[in-house]
Order: sequence, then structure tokens, then C-alpha cells
Amino acid sequence: MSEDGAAIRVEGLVKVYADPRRGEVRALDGVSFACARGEVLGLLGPNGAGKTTTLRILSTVLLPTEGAASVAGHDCVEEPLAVRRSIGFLSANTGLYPRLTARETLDFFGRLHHLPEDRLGPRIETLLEAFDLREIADRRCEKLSTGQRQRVSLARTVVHAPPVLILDEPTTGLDILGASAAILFLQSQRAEGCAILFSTHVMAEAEKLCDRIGILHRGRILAIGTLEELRTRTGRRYLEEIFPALLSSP
Amino acid sequence: MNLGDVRLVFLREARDLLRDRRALFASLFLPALLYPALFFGTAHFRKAAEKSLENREVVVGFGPGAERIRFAIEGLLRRRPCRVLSGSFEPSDLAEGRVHAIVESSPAVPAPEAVVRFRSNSDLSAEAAARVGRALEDWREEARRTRLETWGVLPDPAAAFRFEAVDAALPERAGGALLGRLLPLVLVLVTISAGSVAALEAFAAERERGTLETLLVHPVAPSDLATGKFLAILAASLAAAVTNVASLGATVALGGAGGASHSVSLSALAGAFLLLVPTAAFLAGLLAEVSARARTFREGQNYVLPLSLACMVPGLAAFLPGIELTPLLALVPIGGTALAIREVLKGGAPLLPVALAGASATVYAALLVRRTGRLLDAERILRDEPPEAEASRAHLHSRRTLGATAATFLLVFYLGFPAQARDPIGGLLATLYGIVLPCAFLVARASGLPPREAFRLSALRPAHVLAAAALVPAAGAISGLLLRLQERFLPTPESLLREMAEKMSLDTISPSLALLLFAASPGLCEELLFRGAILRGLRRDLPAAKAVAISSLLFGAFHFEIHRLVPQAALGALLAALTLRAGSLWPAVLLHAGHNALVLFAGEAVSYLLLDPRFLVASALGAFAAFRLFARPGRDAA
Repeated sequence: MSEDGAAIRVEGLVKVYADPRRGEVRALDGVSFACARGEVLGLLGPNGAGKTTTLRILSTVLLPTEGAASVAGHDCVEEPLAVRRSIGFLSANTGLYPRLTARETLDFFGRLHHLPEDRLGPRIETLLEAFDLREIADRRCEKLSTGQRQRVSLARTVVHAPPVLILDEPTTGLDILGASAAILFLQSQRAEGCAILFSTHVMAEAEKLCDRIGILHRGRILAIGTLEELRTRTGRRYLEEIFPALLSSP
Repeated sequence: MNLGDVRLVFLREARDLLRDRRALFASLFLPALLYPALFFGTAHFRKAAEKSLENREVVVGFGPGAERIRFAIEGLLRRRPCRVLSGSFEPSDLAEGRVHAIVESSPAVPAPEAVVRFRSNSDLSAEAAARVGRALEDWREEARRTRLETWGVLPDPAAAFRFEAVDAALPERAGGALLGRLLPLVLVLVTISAGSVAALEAFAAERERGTLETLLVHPVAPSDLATGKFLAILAASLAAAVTNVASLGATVALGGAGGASHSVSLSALAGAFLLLVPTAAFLAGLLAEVSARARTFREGQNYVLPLSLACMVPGLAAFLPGIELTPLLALVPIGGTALAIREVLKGGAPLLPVALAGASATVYAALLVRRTGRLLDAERILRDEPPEAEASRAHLHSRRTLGATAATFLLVFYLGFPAQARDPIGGLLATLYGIVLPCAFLVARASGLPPREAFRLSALRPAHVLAAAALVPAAGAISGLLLRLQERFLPTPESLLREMAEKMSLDTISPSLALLLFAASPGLCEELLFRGAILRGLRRDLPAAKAVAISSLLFGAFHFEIHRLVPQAALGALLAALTLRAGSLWPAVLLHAGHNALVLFAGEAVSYLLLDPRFLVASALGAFAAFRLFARPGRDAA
């Protein structure tokens, strides 16, 4: 954890891409926020706002151009392996190996996290149970439905019981029941003290799950706070109204 | 490096490959089935085809002078289904299938001479000709026997002249020589085939389905991930190689190779395998490098195919006759080890070149393996717009330039060369002014450059003439020295030298016409194409060094002759560098013409001058002075 106890800390994050068509593109332009243990922070923003870039920098796969980011007290640039050990990362782009079964998937990624043999087996069984995967545990991922695959992905994300979860639209592809189960799972992780940073397009999900919400637009945080704080600031009740109000405000 | 992580990644990759039908086919089934299919399959089909032809009826026509022959062999021909006709036959009868073979005989010749006309592109016609040949042989033998019996001399088979060829090589060496030619090429092929499927799965397919990003967010160093994947590609390649050799052994043991002796000692096989390991590692590294740049499996296939073809070229070295393993050739990637494997299988391999081949292959493999650590650069892989796509778009002008250049090459090859074969002088002028010159404008247009900017021929200045004159000796020295160096390991065939000498001979054409044909015209037309349209087109989105290198290689290849590739490419590089430095095409036009004139009028003298250090020093000084003429910055407005 950082000195103030934040599990995730982002300060003045800037990411610049060189794009041959558009020239220099500032995907992030001074983004700052923090997320404490046991807190769910949601990032909302239109496509291209910088959500995925922020999450990828926090997962250490992208380097920031400027600014600092740390997870569980580890600097994302200086200690990438320590950061990766502390996070569970899931995005629409994190796929599964089609020719591995659900059980083999959890086994492989558990071993990548160097879980000891005596803990790995019981942990896999617990997750198969928790995500209702027991019946399909030995079926190859290529044979699973979209929803089943997303549940395997969620189980893969938490196989090493990370203190920080970074999730990019985690309910994408899930049906109503699946999405609801995922939300319940995230709530249970929060109750266990996990810091959760996630991006979503689903306003109802954000309202239901997030302790605080950050509105990201064109690489900048337009506003960040609890739902109440955002309501007070904009005078609107629902996120569907708050969101455009913030985008149109000077 | 964390060996545990590398092992874990390798095992997962290996398990994935074992469950992948494409990988299994390329690594195990294809290498295993290759020889049985080759030997048993072709033998079966050949026999079946022969049997089928033997039972087909053929029509043999006997011309007016061949009645005696017909009388002699008709009975013999009718032992198989055969219809015999007499009369006058035209070639059209053969072409239209009315007869399959025509037997003619010239009455002017004292001894009866049979001429059998047939069409080699028709199996039935070839079969008819063969039957006539066999019948004539039988008849001749019968006639000889009858005559000997008439004279009271009984033919004694024991007294006949007996011929027997005795192979002095040890059986395993004889077998090894045969295998040594075939096996290296086949091993390169199966290694690439299996390795490419594994590499595409390990990198391109992973990226396509998003599992690469999943891996990259786990606490494993990207270099360990890449190493595990590289080892899986290598394992797939070696599995294919081992399966292939085992299949060959089994096929030979089962008599599938037509009963020929192909036995090779185990130690030779072990030596060949040792040489193959670094080569397979080198190929695996190349395949990993290429596959890691593709975003999808399909895109990766587009990259792997040309790479495979390029790797086959040096692999062919062992298959072609007359290429010996020398220390210099041993250093050629793939080709060196292919030749070394051939020598090891033959037995009595020269130690130094074989050791050099093994060591150099190991060094090349190690260099590539070091690079694999950098393959999984997440910044490159995860950018919404991958650099490849940007590069691809950024290189749009270059790609269009190269496309139009390829069209030019095809036109020259299919129209220009046949025209030159029919009429050397007219054909050459037609090629240069009718194809190369218009194509220079076509290439410039394809690259999006107005002709004025592509060709830059606006003002001829004294400096251009001076620079070209100063560089003529250097141009002669560079191409001449490279040619001499090349002669040491790739000698120019006598026939080619003779052809060139005849083509450029001053005995048949006047010097002024020779200058126009071989100096001025190529100087103008080829420079407009290569240093004008192609170089400027490439320069639009490539750095100067790359544009010079590519345009020079194209210039070398343009002559469609492997022996001229390197010297011409070197000359092209000099011309390209001069063009960029001068900011004008004039110096290159003049230098090209001057160089050709030098070769035309003083070819022999130049080869003597190359031995004189004073000439070489003067050439270098001339080159230095020429480039200094344009040394002021900003002259290259490319």
C-alpha cells in the first residue's frame, strides 16, 4: 500500500502516442486518482476517453509518458512483476486458450503466479464452485458459451487471490444472470478488502457497485466522487443524465 | 531468466500444439507420410499407368519408303493391341491423333534407316514410338541370330562382350551420397513447415484471440514467455525432422525406395542431427520473429510463405550438383549446414568447413534467440493501431512503387527478352525505349510523384559531368572486384561469358552503335527507372539507406542473371548514393553510360588495372572527390 493506504494511486498520468494520421495523440492528459482497499472505483467515459489506456498502464503492459502510477505500493514502471503479482486483470482483450479446459486454465495461470502445489488444487476447486463451473470444468474453452468463458476468465483473474482487481468492462458478453452473478462476486471481493478499479458502459452497474465514480473524457478526469457528490455537482439524479451534463459543462 | 516459468510456458505451448490438428499434421503426419507417399505412391501410380498404356491400342503409320520395315516388324507390333496403316502421313495426322507414330525410311541410305516420328507430349504417342523401337530391336536381334546360324556360327553368350559397372564406394557411403543430396532440402522443408504452424500459433494466433495480453499481465518476464514459445517452435521443428528421418529409414527398410541401397551409418545420422539442431533453432527464431509481427494467423501466413521460399533457396545448395562445401559457403545460413549435412551423410566430410557450418549456425541461432526476448513488446502489441499497420500505411508509396516495378520486370521478362532473342539490336532498343522508359513514368505515377520530381533532369551542370567522370574508375573497380571475388565460389559459366562477349562484340557492329546500344541507352532508360522513379518512390517513406539498398537489389535482379546480381547491385548502390547526394539524376545517367562504355571498350584492360594498387587508389580518390562536389548540406531534397 502507498503511504496514505491507497491500493491504487495515479498521479498526473500522461500517455502520448505517435499516430501517423493524427500526429501526436494524448490518450491520457494528466489523470490522477486513488482507490483504497475495500473500495470500488468505476471509470466511465465514451470510447477513446482513455479508460483502457489507464487500466493497461496500471497493469504494467503500457508505459506512461509522464506521471506516476502505483499498485499495492509498487511502482508500475520500476516494479512491474511485483505489480502483476498484486493484480487480477481482466479486459475484453484478455482471451482464453481455446484448447485448454477450464480446470487447466486455472491450473496454468495459478502456476504462473507460483501458487504452491498444496494451495493450488483447493483454490481451483473453490473457484470452480464459486463460479458455477464444476460441470464444465473439463470441457475445452473453445466449447464453452460466451457467458461460460467470461466466468472462467473471472475465475482466472482471481486465481491467486490478488489484493487489487483491475477490470475493463467485466460484464461484457454476460447475460442478465451472469452479469448479476459477476456483480455479486465483485461485491464479495470488496467485502474481503479488495481494491477494485473497473471501467464500464453500463450506468446501472456503476450506480449499483461503485463507491466512487470517475468520469473520463479525452484523457482527462472531468469529475470524480461518490454518486451523491456527482448528483450535487450537476443537479441531476441518474448517471445517464449526470454523464452528458459533465461532458457538456465547460 | 526464470527456468520454471520458461518450462511452464513451453509445456503449455506443447500441450496446445499436441491438441492442434494443423500442428500435428505438420509436425508428425506430413513428415511421416512424405516418403511412403513419395516412394510407394509414385511407384504404384507409375506401374498402374504403364500397365494401362501397355494394354491400349496404338495406331502406327508406315510411310511410302517404310514398307520393308512394316513387313519385318508388323507381326512383332501386333503382340500388343496395335493397328498398322500404310500410306502418306503428314505431321497433322500425328497432331490430330489419327496415328500415334509414323515410321519413315529413307531409300537413299544404303542401310535401311528407320525414323519414328511421335509426340512426346502424348503418352500414347510415346508408347507407340517405344513399341516400334522395341520391335525394331527384336527384329535386328533375330536377323543377326539367323545370319550367324546361316554361317554356321552359333551365338555363344559367354563369348559376348560383357559390361559391368562396379561401385567402389562402401554401401553406406553410396547410400549416404544419395540421401545426402535429398535429405537436407527435405529436412529444411519439414522443419519450416512444422515450425511455421507452431510459430503462428504461439505468436500470431495468441495475439488474435487475446491470450497474449492475458499472459502479459501475469508476473512472468516477457523474455521468459518468448523463450518458452521459441522452445516449443523448436521442439515442433525437431519432432518433424526426427519423424521424417525415421519415416525414411522405415520406408527404405520396407523396400519402398525401389530396392536401392540407402543405408547410412548411425554415426552419420547422429552427426547430421547435431548439425540440424542449430539450423532448426535459427529457423525457429526467424519464424518467431516474423510471426510476432502479425496480428492474425492469416496475416502471419502471408509473412511466413515468402520466408519459407527464401529459406528453401540456400537449402537447395545440397541438392544441386557441383556445389562443394567450402569454408566460405559454410558460413551461409541454412545453405552451409545443408551442405555440411550432405557431406556428413556421404562420409569423409571435411572437418573444418563442417565445423564452421555448425559453429556459424549456432551463432546465428544464438543471435536470433537473443532477439526473441524483445518480441513480446507490449507497447507494440497492445497499441490500438499496431505499428505494423502504421508502417504498412506509411509505406504506401513504397508498396505502390514496388508493385509497378514488379509489373515492369514481368514486361521485360515476357516481352523484352523474347524480342532480344529474335533480334538482339532491335530487341534491346525496343526493351529499353519501348518498355523500360514508359515503365519509368508508370512507376513514378504509381508512387504519386510528378515526373519532374521523380527524374530531376532539369539542369545539367559541370559538377554533374565532373562527378560522373571521376567516378567511372571507381564504378569499374567496384563491379570488377566483386565479380572476381564472386568467381571464387560462384564461377560464371563459360557459356554465359561467351554469350555476353558475342552480344557486346564490336566485330559485328560499329563503335558508335555499340555506344548507343550498351552505354547511352541503358544509362538513360535504366537510370530514369531505377534511380529516378524507383529510388524516389521508395524515398517517399523509407530512410535513404533502405531506399538505396532496395533499389540497388532490384537493379541487380533486373538483369535476371544470378552471376550479375552482386556486381550490378553494388553499381546500383553507388549510382543511387550519387543521385541522392547530387539531388539530380544527371550524374547517375552519365556515370552509368561511362561505366558501360569502359566495360565495352576496355573490358580486358580493366581486369588488369584491378591488380594495380595505383588504379584502386585513384578510383577511391576519384570517388571521394566526386562526392565532395555535392557535399554541401541540403542538396538532397529527397
